[in-house]
Amino acid sequence: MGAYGFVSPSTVAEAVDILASHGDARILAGGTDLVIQLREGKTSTGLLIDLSRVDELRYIKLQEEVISIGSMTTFSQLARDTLVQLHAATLARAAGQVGSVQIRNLGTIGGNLANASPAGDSIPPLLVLEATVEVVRKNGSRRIQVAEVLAGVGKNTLEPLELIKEISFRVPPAGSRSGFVKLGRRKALAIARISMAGLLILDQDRVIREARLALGAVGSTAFRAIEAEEALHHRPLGRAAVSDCLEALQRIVAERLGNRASASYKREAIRGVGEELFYQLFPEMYQ
Amino acid sequence: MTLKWIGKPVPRQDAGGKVTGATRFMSDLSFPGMLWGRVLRSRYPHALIKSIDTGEAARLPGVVAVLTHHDVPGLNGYGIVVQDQPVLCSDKVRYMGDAVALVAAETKEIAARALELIRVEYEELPGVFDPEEAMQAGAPQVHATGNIFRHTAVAHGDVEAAFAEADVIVENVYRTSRQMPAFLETEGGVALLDAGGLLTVWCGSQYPDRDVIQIARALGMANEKIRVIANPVGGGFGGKDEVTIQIHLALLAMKTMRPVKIVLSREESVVTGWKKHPMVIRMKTGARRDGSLVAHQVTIVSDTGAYASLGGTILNSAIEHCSGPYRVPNVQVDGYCVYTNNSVSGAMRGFGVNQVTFAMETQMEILAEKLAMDRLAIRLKNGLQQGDKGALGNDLVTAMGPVPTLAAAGATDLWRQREVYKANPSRPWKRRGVGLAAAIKGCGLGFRLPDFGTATIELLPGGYFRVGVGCPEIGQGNSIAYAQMAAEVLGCPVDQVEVVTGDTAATPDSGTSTASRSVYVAGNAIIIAGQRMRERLREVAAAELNVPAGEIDLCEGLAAAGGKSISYTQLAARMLAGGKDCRELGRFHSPKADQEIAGAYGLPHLVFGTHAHVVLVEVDTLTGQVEVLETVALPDAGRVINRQGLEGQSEGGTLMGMGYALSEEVVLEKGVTKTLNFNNYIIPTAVDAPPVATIPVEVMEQTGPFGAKGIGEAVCISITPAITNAIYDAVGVRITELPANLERVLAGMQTCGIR
Repeated sequence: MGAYGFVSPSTVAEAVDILASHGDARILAGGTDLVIQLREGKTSTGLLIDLSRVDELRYIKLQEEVISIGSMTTFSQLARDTLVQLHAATLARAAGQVGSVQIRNLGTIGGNLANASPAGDSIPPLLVLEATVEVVRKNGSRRIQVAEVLAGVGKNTLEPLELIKEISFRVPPAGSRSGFVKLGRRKALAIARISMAGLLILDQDRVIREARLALGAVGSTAFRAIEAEEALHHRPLGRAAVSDCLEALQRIVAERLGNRASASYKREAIRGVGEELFYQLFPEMYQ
Repeated sequence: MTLKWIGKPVPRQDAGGKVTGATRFMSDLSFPGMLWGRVLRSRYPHALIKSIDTGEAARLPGVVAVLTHHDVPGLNGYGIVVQDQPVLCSDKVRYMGDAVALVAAETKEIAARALELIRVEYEELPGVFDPEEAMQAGAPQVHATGNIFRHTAVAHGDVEAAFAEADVIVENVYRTSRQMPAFLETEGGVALLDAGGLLTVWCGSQYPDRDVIQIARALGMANEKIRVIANPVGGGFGGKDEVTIQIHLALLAMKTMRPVKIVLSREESVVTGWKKHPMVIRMKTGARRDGSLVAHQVTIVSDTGAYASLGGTILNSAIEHCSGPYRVPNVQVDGYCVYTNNSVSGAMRGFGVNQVTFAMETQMEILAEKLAMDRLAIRLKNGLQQGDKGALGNDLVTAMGPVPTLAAAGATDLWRQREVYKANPSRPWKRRGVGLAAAIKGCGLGFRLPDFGTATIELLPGGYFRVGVGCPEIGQGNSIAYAQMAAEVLGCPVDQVEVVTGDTAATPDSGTSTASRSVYVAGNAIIIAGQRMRERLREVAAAELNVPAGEIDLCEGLAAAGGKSISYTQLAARMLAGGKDCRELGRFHSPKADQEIAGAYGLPHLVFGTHAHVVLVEVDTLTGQVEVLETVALPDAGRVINRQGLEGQSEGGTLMGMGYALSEEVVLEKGVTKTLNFNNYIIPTAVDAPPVATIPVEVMEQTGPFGAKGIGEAVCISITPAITNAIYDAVGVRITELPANLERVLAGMQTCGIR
């Protein structure tokens, strides 16, 4: 680990000021990924800007049917927050499955997104929630879609002087259910082999009005599985629709992974991940 | 005999310090003026060293010493059996963990920088990474002596004739993975040379007395000038049996005349450290229609990596246990321990028995299926009993636990009600299965090596006793067992016994804390020393009480006879008056078999612990994920000395064997380790741990202390095939290669179809 400076600003304004004047600065938003990368020499920095004292970045609020989450909100906070549990079960579940208690106490949603790991647990849920991201810099801000943040394995589209301030999404309509499934090699401290988030909106007669599905750890970034969503749209919830959806998921995974070593396993196992997601959302369907 | 302390739930005396953190890790040690030591490791798995230039590193401010092979005053080699591993490589490196140079510096950072400044010129050589390839003519040679370090061929009976008579024959190839100890603390320690010329080394160690010998040999020093103190926390599991950082610490401390500390990073530990031997096992087993085993032919190729350490002994241990806990009248085994340029294999919990038991317990299941026999019945029919012959024709003269242990496994609710347990999987696409397996594991060092236990008991003021045993406490709980056994013999409360272990200046050489031996050998030594101490106490009490010594009863810290008594406190005051010592030493030599097995160095063992496991798993037919839901562990440790200690071993062993079954594997690609830390070396976590119910099966061992025998390894052996057999029961996939990870189980279901 090379030598670098370290600052702990207490406001967003201070933080973006520092960013504006230090081209080689990195943001420490929990550090559960970044510190490991620094220690392994996989990345370097001249200055670490620690956001742990920026209290204005830690909040979860509901206003006018929009849930807004400050970027420094930890996974522990997300997992136990009643608003998130009620309106965005997919995100609460994903947050609760990140690493271990210690990692969830430190790791943040903003850090997870900026780190842009293909296996980042919170990203598929944010994709199905169709969340937007508020990015700030000195004297400016912009709002982009989650997918627009992701640029590849460990790469984001943010400029060096920007930081993620907030992640927000519209509360899903009544009649929707959302969930998250992670397949790992063990129950805790597991990097997702495959992760999947889903949000389904049903009509009163149990016809699927809208389906949103997103996959993680399949290829270089998390993504919406459009073809699998389409297999569900406007169909009655039931075995036929689910089977078509699972087949579509298999095709998507096969296509995404090509001849990667993991392809032969993942294109089969995705069925299990998908099935588990439907079980989580509609256990009554399996009675 | 009613026992006052044996088998009682006595709290561990070391528990408080470990729970509160008062007992320190090696990484916590600090001394004034202490330097940081680092080791420069090889850049290639196989290469010639053309030159080493340390000049620039030595000139870096803050660097106090840079050492190479030129600075090793004595033998530049170490190894428990043969000293084929250089302390610091001079002409050749044979694996990525090889040590090339040492640095001592004022800070960790300077030491790290200094390593980068050492210029080593290598000439890379082609490497050999597959043990079967390494045996072929023309393979790159790891050592000039050839790649086959040991070949053991043994036979008993007439295998060919017996196969001709067999009604069913099962033949398979099994492959096992490279499991690492994954101990809590990596290899580390501090060395300090005092003004009197005594070099003290604090380190994680399973045998400080042998560390002294290996350090002395490399440094050209007298053994008496070296003291090694083993850390009672941090764990070993075999990985701290061989020397790790001890000689490097000693070299740096002697050179700099300052305290030096080395603590390996986890990554460095994974690259350099001792691991379980991966083995390729070919097994052909024949049985009669009634299920009785008649013939067993086994070939083992064991990858010992770049250096021998205990590889030959481990191969022979695998050979001795190749028929598991079963009687086979005709056995032929051919075993090879082979050098490669992979990371080094050495002692690790189970000592070669995990691998062959996994194979044999799978063979038994296949035989049962082919013969349409009950899985338990075929095992009970063939279970080894006292008076039988072992796999290599040796007479089993001590108590044998397989039949009672298997019977106890068969009596568990999980086994008897297995169809009920399997009936309701948690998802419609999941399947449950129940598996069973058993294992035996020899206790102690076998036929050839001296195998003794030594203990001292010292009377202390106040009527307390101090027990000293060389076998270190490394977490396994031997020290509380020692205290209980001493209290039982001495007739005093257990809290009046203090136990010291693993300090060469304070405890007598009692051999290793390995091989499921420390309770057996040192327990016997404590009984001998304790009986001598009793005689001393009786003699003095007889004079004080004016009664014949033979009439005196020693109990609860009192010597009593005819209504009169005197306390140990009073006796101690008399016996220690005027600065006298009162110390007794007991030495126990393990009994040995009548003769060595021809062609099999060090075999056989005489005493065996047995273990069985029954396990319930749930398999996800869509992802291959296996969840272990319930386990019952049935250890036959002979007499249980400390119930919680046994449960601790049982639970830890079950988890270790479960990791071996399902997920643990050090992955190397052309000699380069890819699984450097716990992010991708997958050990079970607390939330993966199933409930472990421990049901002791006490088959008393006449030669054991109070009937006890060793169990520290057997606890981790039978669980592995119990899990793979449960996977078969659930989905019909036969696991012949470990670990049974997601990919392997799913691929198996795709190939065989789900039953």
